[in-house]
Amino acid sequence: MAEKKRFTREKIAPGVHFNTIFDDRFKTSRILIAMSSDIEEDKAAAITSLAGLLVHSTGKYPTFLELSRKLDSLYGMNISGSSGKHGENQMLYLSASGINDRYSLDGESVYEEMAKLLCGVLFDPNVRDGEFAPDDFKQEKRQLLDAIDAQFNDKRAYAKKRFLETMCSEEKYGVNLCGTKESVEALTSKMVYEQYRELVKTAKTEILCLCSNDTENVKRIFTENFEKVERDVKENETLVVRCAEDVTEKTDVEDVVQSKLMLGFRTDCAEPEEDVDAMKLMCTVLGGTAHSKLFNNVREKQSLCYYCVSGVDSTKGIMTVESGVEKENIEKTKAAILKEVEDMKNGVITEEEIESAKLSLANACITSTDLSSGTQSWYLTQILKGTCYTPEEQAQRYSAITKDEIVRAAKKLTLDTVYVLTGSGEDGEGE
Amino acid sequence: MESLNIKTVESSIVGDKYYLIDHPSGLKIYVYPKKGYKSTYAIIGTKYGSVNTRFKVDGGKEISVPDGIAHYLEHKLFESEDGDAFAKYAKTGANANAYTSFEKTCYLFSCTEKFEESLEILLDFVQSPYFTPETVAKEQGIIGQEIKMYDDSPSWRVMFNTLVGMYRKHPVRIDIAGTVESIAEITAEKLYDCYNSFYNLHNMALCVAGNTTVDQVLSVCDRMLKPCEQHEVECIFEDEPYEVAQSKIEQKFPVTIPMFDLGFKENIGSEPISAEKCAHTDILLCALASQSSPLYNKLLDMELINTTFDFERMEGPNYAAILFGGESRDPEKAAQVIKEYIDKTKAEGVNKADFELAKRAVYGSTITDFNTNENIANVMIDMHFQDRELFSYVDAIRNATLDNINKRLSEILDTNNCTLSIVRG
Repeated sequence: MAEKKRFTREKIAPGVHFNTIFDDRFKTSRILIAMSSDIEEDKAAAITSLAGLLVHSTGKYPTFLELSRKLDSLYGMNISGSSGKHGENQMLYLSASGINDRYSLDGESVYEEMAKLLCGVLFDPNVRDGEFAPDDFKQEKRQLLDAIDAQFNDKRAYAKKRFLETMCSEEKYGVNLCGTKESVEALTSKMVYEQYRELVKTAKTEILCLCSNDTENVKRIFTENFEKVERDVKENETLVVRCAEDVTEKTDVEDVVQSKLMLGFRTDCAEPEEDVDAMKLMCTVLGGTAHSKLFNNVREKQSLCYYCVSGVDSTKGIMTVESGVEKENIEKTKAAILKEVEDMKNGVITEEEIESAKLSLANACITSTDLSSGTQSWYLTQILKGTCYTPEEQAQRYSAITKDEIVRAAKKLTLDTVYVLTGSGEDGEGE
Repeated sequence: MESLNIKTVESSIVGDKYYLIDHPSGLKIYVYPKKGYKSTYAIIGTKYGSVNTRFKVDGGKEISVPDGIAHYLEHKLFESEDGDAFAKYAKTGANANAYTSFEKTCYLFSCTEKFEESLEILLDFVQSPYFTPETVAKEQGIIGQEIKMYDDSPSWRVMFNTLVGMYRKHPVRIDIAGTVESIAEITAEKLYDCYNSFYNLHNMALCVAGNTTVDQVLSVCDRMLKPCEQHEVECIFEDEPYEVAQSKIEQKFPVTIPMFDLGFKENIGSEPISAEKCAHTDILLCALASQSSPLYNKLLDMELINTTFDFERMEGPNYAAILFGGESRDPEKAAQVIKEYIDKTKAEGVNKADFELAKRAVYGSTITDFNTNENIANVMIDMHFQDRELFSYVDAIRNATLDNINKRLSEILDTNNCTLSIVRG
């Protein structure tokens, strides 16, 4: 291919891979460290707090102010930490992005500095006497408690959280990664430091470097640091509940104006199984676009809602449908959604619906890689799945799926949970 | 072939260029090709938003329309006599959307294939209004739910309450989507009134960024754009006093952590500020309140904010304001610390080191904005309607001095003229 773009992958320590994505279209470079460990209720909050602590300060820049000023001097370089789920893995992400050297005003190498800083975030934490600096820890703990409280502020997100806790109450996937107020209160700086050491030792780690520079130096910096660690890598598996046995119904009453309705289905397939692609396409036909069955029938024809969308988490084997409706229309909307799902199972799908869903998925895959963050997460997804498709190849795979395969995917769906968040008033108004 | 006025605008700092075309139809067209990109993003907008509720056309009699009608019109424009635009986009694979803000309404799509067909769909439906009593009635339920969704959003409520507290008369104090009651007054006839007044190509702009060329964009525009007569639309705004209406506004809300916005009302006429002033304001705000500022760190150490703390400047016809806000356990105290810090900085001037850091940070984030088609096209259309030029903003960042920043500070952030808005349980 004439296009100067390549992906290379190299093992630099047990369970640690360094991946280079060469791309010269962007004005910035990015480095991402993704570390995965098993989701466990009693350590989830500690890992989430690490995501904040590690980017709050480092040994070399021991306060938030010093680290922030260093980053701003490098043209507003961004360093951030977060935690999320990938199947039943708790991911810790540490990422950095900064402008390319060509744009630096004083000729300094922003890129090399970025690699050193991010490496410092991971390997030179602000630790004294076997614990994180007490002030930093106190700050991070407070922020995590704020974040737990704030989960109630955004009602759509709150409904999702409650839905997941209900549907996966017996599974690791149902664990809230921020922990509970009690579990956060119980955290100590020492415990979190121990968790940090455990993670550096055992987490499967992917480092992705997206840039137009030579990456040998960056790779060397990370390799040298990981060489100092005695690695003992842990492998984790995700439990896939293939079918729902019966339907769990759960309603929460809060002071809300609009009711939130969430339906959860088991999809009887998950990565790396082949039929995941058909499931995704099926879900797109059902409710993934502004020309999907749910959009056209539940929103446009019946005017029941502003949004009614479906989505699949193929790492766990769950499909969700969510909508915001009037209290009096909850049952009507639920019936309308289930009718569309039945239609999918019965093959009531037009060629146009299938074709437009395929085009839409292809468009989404390819467009995402016009973002530097999108390119990075595309490759991370491929790595975690154990595949190596380009967006175009993935689009081709969607394109080859037949109507029969879509219907077969729909027939795998079993309704597991119906969750409702609603107001106490008669017309849906809170008091 | 009509002769076209095509202007090339280049930036050596950014290393990019774009083209500005004065199309004979009256439409201003911006094309910003991005080498190596596979997708293209197009956005067309009209300078007509939620604040334009009273107007006169060609000196005729005043027309007054219900709150939320610009947003309602945005929803309804997707339907034409020959079908729905989403159904047409379904055949090209484009991902389409639209939004209404205080001062503009925009329709957009991004695509990787069949760009010309998608652009044709976009230009066709924005020029083909089709409103009937039935189609208008159908939207009541959908938009009603959109309004109620926002009624449950504390971040949305706290922001609108700030505007209500700051503005006595200006329609920026009214929710963009209106209320369930106000939208009940909307009729097909009123939608046509608004459409015919504001959806005139002379009042609109098209911005395209990504995998495209001027020739490609023009080949579609030349075919699709219908010449239209220019009309003089005068928007009427009551005189707005400088003083805020309320210095504090509070709403009881189901939240477990309170949220606040501290809004500073700016003294502004009907003309937007220049790209230079805009650059100076951005650097100033970054020096004052970004994560590397002494203020941010003080608030953090006092446990008055968390990382949700942020700031923004908003501007439109006859209004401008700067908002600081986020989640806080003690919003009153946070607001007091912010105001004291602003007064102290006004008295002493911005610290030179803070200025230098902020200038670098704003420069870096501006360069980063040129990474994505969506950002580029969105910023171009914003700037078009504010009479500012994209690359001169970048130049102004590079050339900004401490004196510029201090001068700007002396003009804004009057701590005796601000509104504290709080939502709490």
